[in-house]
Amino acid sequence: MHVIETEKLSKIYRDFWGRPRVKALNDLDLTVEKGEIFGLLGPNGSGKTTTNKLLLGLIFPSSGKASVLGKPVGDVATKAHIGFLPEESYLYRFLDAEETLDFYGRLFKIPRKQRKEKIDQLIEMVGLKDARKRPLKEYSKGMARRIGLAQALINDPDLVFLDEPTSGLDPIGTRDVKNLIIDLGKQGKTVLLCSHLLADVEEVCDRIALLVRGKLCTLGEVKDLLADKDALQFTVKNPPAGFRDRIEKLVAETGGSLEGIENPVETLEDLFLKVVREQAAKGNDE
Amino acid sequence: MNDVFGVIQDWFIRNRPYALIALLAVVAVLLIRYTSGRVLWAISRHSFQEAIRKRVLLVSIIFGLALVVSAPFWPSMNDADRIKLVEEISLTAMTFLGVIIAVFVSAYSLPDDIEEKRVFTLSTKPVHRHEMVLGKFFGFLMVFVLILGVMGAISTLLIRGVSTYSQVEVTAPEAPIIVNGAAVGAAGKGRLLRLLGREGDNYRVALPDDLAIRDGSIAVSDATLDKTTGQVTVTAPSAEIVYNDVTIARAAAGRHFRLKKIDSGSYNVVLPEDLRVQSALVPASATSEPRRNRISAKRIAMPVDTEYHNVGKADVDDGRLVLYAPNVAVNEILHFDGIDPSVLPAGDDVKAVLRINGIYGTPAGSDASGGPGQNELTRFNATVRLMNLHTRETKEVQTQGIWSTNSFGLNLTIPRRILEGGSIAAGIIQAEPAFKSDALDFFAGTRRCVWYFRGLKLGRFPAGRINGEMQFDLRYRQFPANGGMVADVKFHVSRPDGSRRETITVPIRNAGLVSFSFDREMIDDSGGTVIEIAEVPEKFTLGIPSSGARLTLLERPTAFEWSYAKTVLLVLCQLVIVCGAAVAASTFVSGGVAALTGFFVYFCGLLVDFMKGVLEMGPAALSSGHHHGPEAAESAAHTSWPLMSFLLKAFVALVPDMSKLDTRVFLLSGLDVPGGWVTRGVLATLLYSLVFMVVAHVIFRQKELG
Repeated sequence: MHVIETEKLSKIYRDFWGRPRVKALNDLDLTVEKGEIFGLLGPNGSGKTTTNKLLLGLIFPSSGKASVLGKPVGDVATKAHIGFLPEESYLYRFLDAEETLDFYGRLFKIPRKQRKEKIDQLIEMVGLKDARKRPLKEYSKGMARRIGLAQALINDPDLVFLDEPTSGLDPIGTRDVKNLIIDLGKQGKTVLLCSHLLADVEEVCDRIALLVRGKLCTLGEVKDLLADKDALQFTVKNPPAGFRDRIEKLVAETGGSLEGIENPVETLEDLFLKVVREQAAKGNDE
Repeated sequence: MNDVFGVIQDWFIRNRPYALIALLAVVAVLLIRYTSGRVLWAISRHSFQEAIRKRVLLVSIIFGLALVVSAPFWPSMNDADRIKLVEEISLTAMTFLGVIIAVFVSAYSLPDDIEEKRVFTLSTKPVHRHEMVLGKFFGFLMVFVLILGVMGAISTLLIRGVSTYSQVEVTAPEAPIIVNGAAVGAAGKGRLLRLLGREGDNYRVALPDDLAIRDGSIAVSDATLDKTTGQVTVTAPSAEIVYNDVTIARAAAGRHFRLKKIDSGSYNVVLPEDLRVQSALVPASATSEPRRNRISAKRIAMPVDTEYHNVGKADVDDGRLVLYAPNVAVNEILHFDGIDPSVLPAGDDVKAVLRINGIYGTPAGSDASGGPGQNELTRFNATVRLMNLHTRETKEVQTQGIWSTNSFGLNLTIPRRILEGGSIAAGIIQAEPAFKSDALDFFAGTRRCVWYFRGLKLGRFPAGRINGEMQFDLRYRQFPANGGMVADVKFHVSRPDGSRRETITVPIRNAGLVSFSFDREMIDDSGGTVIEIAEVPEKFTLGIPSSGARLTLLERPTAFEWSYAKTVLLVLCQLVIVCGAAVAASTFVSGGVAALTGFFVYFCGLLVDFMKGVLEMGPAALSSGHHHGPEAAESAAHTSWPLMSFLLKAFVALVPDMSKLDTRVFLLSGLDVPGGWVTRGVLATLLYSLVFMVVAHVIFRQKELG
């Protein structure tokens, strides 16, 4: 059984008179297997969010078929096993974090006691412990994102749709979310990730699909798609003196061409995380 | 097309209770089958919270409460007025603020959720679309219950606080009414009397209209009579005014009175306001313990067929069908039942007489109050419209009559098919003098009239005499030479089967409520009774107000709170219907438009009565400015656009009639709110909610939320 399966799925947005306005999705054939972390990539307006909405039954396909968890899209019982984090966190501003999660928990008919435990656990996990009693209208964008993520996971879903999960988050938050997604994968859950932040996708996804103007352009495993099979890369710790000259010589002798040798650079993300964590550790010591 | 609509309407009216119950049962089954109670509760609870935390609601409630709490402090004449003021203000505040809150809370909720994309998280949970709509609807219902509960409770406390009326109920068969230490009359068992205070072993009570003393006798030796003016002048230094051998007051020399009649040795005179006896003592032992209550508790009964203002009698006499018309106001419809076709004279055309007991018009030259005039015989042409109430076939008949102050007949030839089925409606739709010089104005009025009442609930009435009230309009036929505007009118009250009959004489003064009492036996087991005007003094005519006949039976007081609760319940019904309309609209239009829809339904609902009247009257009646013409339902067919007329009728039939959910009329006149009124209101509200929710579901289930 495929967790997600679409067959010639198309969506045409029409205007008031029923005339086609935009072809948002064009004959999408896609399958996602259980336990996969699947990335849906594409520039703005490429049909990522449309695909998400179609799979969640928020909008209805113009043609084609789609099934989720083995059931046709729109089956209400199936939704009990699905979690969804929308593009932005659209939540009820008059509720606080606890009430928000309580409301969504009730919709899944989670018993009171279990619900309370789950809420505590999720609030802890997304780091909103200090803000749990504050109404959502006072939340920053990042905090809203965190509570949005928490509500997507309240039912311990088998399939999670994450639309731009890291938007609005600080690097630590981004890191946490990425770790969380990887964790979900390890727990055997299926994740459909929509993003145009390529670094995020590259790091966590097993497989990706690239959509451009509603059409599927590329589909495959991340390491296959990105690996340059004609090149090799070494990283040598503490190279001895003259190591560099000898390598250059060896390459020249064997008939290859050397593209470059340089000191490895930390990503900015790594640097940011290192500094913030050092500061935090210092703060704790004092 | 009209017929199809008529057939559907007739069927529905006949089978309404069953159809409704069946429908509600089906919906209940579907609801249980396809709806999760816990999900519904979660969403209801949530939308309740959402509404409660909105500032707009809080502010509205504060305004409403401020208004309600201020009510007792508005200037008012007396206690009774103050109670009414508090009720009026409280109920108006509850209704109008309630409607505003209902509309704003419910119209914007769903569109805002869609607009701000909160439906993304909501509808991707295991929630049916109809659960979203229904849940919200129930949540809003909880809000209304809360608002009306708070405002209702506070206003109830206020009304109890300002209500200072106490009553005693007469328990003895005949309790003496004591003035100046001696009995002048008696009050029957079961009578409710307003308590003014206690004096020794007696209660001082206010005398109701029929027991109050408005005339008395002055000894001839103490006064003189001016025969030309009919005026009695007191000559003794202080003349005793006697009523039933009891001196009830004294009048000083020089005081003038109007003569009523001359008895042996005394003048019977009309008492001026200051000498009337409006209160008296009754022995405490002849009454129950005083009860603090509102003014009175009453139960009202409408005549059997309220569509027709009067019910006529049909009879066959001397080979002619005689239709006894109690009422001949132009454009007023009469309803004749039980015409037995087997005893009608043979032939396709049936000779008939529309026998009219006094036509109420004034011939030219008479004074405005209806003096005798010079020419008592004025010939006039009349058009009578007849309608078979089963087939709805109508026929107009031209005839000529002679106006007179006595009863007279209009000869008619009626096609037999109009009489098939035995029930017809008839009315004079046009009447004008045959000669231009004879001006003749008609006005509503009647001398003989029969009302058939049904469904009076007798459970709480004690055996013996029952006190009733009806509203009449007394007019002069001849300007009285002397005597006040008081007519002793005889009524027959009888069991519908005619097995028992009682004739009562009731003094009627001007226009207003007339109190009388009759034996409980006159009401049969099905709660039916017949009241007939038997005899009106020659110089008067007696009419009923245009609101129609209404019999009010005065009852032991029930708790006011109960009636008030019923009223608040019906206010809730209004809010529910408005909310339902707004929610249904909000599934496919923006919040603002949905709010307008809610208000539109409410205001059209207030006008339904009026619109129905206009449709029934048709263009003829419209131009003549009358509000109830005999053209009845048929006239709509006269419009040049049958489709338009059908659409209008359909629209009026579909709009919820808010006036049926308004019981202020009852409450403000101190009446018990009839239980049937509440049941019908609640059932209608359920039906409308159902329709709105089905519409909402059908639209919302296929709405794209992206």
